[in-house]
Amino acid sequence: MLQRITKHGEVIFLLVLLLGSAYLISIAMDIPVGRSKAIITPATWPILSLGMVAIFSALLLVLRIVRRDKQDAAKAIQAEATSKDAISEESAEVVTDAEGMPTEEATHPQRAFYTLGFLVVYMAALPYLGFVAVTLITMSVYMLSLGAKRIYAVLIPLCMTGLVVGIFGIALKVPLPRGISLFRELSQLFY
Amino acid sequence: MLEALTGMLSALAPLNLLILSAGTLFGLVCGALPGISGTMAVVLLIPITYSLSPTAAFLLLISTYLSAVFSGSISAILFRIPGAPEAVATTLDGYPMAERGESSKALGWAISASACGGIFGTLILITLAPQMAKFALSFGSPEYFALAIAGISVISAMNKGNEIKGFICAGLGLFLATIGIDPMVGSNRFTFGSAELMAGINFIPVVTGLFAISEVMRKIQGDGKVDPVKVARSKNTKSALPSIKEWLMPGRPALFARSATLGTIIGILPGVGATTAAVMAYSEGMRWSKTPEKWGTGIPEGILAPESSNNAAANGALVPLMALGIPGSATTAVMLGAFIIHGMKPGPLLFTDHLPFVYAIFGGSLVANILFVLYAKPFIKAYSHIIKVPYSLLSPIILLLCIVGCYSVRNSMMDIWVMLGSGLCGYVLERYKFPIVSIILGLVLGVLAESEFRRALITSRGDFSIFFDRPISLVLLCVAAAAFILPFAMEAIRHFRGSKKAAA
Repeated sequence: MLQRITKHGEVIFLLVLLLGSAYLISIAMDIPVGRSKAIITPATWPILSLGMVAIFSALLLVLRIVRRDKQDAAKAIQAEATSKDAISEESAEVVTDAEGMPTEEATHPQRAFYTLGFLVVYMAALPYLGFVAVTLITMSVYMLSLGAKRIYAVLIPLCMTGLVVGIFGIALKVPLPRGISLFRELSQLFY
Repeated sequence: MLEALTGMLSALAPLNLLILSAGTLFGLVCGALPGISGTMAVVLLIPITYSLSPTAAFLLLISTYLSAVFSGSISAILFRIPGAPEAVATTLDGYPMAERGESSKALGWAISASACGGIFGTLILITLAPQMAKFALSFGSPEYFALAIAGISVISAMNKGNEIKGFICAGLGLFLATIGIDPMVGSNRFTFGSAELMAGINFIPVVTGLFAISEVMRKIQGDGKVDPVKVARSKNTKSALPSIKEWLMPGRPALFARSATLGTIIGILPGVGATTAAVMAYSEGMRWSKTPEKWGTGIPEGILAPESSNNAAANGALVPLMALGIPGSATTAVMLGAFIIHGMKPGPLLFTDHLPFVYAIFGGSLVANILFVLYAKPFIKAYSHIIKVPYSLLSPIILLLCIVGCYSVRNSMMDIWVMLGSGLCGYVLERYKFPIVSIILGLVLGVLAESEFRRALITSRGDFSIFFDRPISLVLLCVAAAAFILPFAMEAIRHFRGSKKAAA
């Protein structure tokens, strides 16, 4: 599944860009222009920029599809010309990027999504649990999941939380999220 | 003349040197931390300056600001997080150099280019302040618009062979710049009912997401082991600062002169700032380079251009402040406040009534540029050890700095979500070889281009000839048109010649 998404990823991404920009252009059409009678309204610039995204995405999409057809045709001819099965299986196994080049070796490809997941959880929990608790917990869990030693997974979050609270929360008076109820009271001990 | 010389030498008095040192060190620390820009560092020091004499107060503020503009490049080079907005263009070549284990060399180039750019800007400030201020006033909306378009036009040269993706990214950047309340009419654009989006999309979270978060997502997929070759290379910090021979290599003196001049001119223009100067210098450097395809792969020229430009611009921004009393940037606006607190009124009278003070500031600015070269060297040595830290320990620290840095800009949770969204976009865009630098160009220059374009048309009552009637605007627009068309024209000519040869 992941390999199929990777294989067609660019085409999917271009489709998202095309549809997304078309949707945003439709929103831009409804931007109120106020009393202004100027030729250039508040909607003009967004429509122009999104139009640029839509046109070039569509162009690239067409180029990609045409190129893929040509590549497929070339592969078919090649496969016919040589001893068929071995070559076609081998080429199917090689993960290539959009330009047809082999991708960089990634020993843990799932970690990119773990990282994203951790960030989403961190940010979702921040208003409820406050900066200190969320940073300590998620940072430690994240480090352990990456294979860091336990001692580092405890010490680094502690030091970093202390440093950020000291510099940003106390010295610069940045209102770091305090959380609710018990966590709010806990945060008041520090900043 | 004697008064001016005495003023300049007063910057070397022991107490003033101590103040300059303190300001430089404070600026170095603040700029290196994502979330604390040069402006914020200056704001933090304002209460301290109450008890100081005006000269000492301004020496402290100026040395802090100048060193913070440089030190934003430290995290940009090491972690791909611009510590200050001015360092965004430095990321493009600084980080690839650090990735190769040449972090100390990259930092060395950043320091020396910043210092030389700063000194260049100060010398312009000393010799031409009143004249340059008058020149800045001749810039109207058509010129600003043409300047922004000239900056954006580099996209086709920048993305040779990948132009379509470059245009898509530029379009995305230009679109992002339109989110929020429309500056002319006040209509809400793409705010979807969110009060936080009304203020627009902040530049810092987008850049942090596109560069730093996407990089963490990419690098975390590896085994996280430390590369011994990179460690060995990074140990060589003695030769970090580039030699004169390296500085004088073909093309570099011209690149420096172009970038520092551009930076000074942009710095002088009110409301444009050092970030735009750095981005413009990078794009112009690439435009005039004989090997534009090497830009972005980690070459010293890619650091030299933006760093010399942003420090020159930081000095340039002092010109309209001191000569006319008009703040050219956010930091100089804060400094204008400091002038008022100390009972002084910047403007033409400052040069007649307080000449020693003015020249003490000029002298202090020169000294500060030299001081941060001296103080930054131990910083390089300390930072060169970072490469030895496994990525499983480094990545959570980078992520935390990104989050805090983005949050502290406006104390907004929305900015962190924007950072995360940009990070995911940056990851996908880089995966499919979209040039994310084009988004930055569109985002930085888009705001300027749109607002000045509309302002010019309102002034001319819808007459487009306003852009072609004025010489500066006309020249800049011709440069932009040539830059857009030339790469395609050259390609077409090459293709035509090739097909002719094949037919023969």
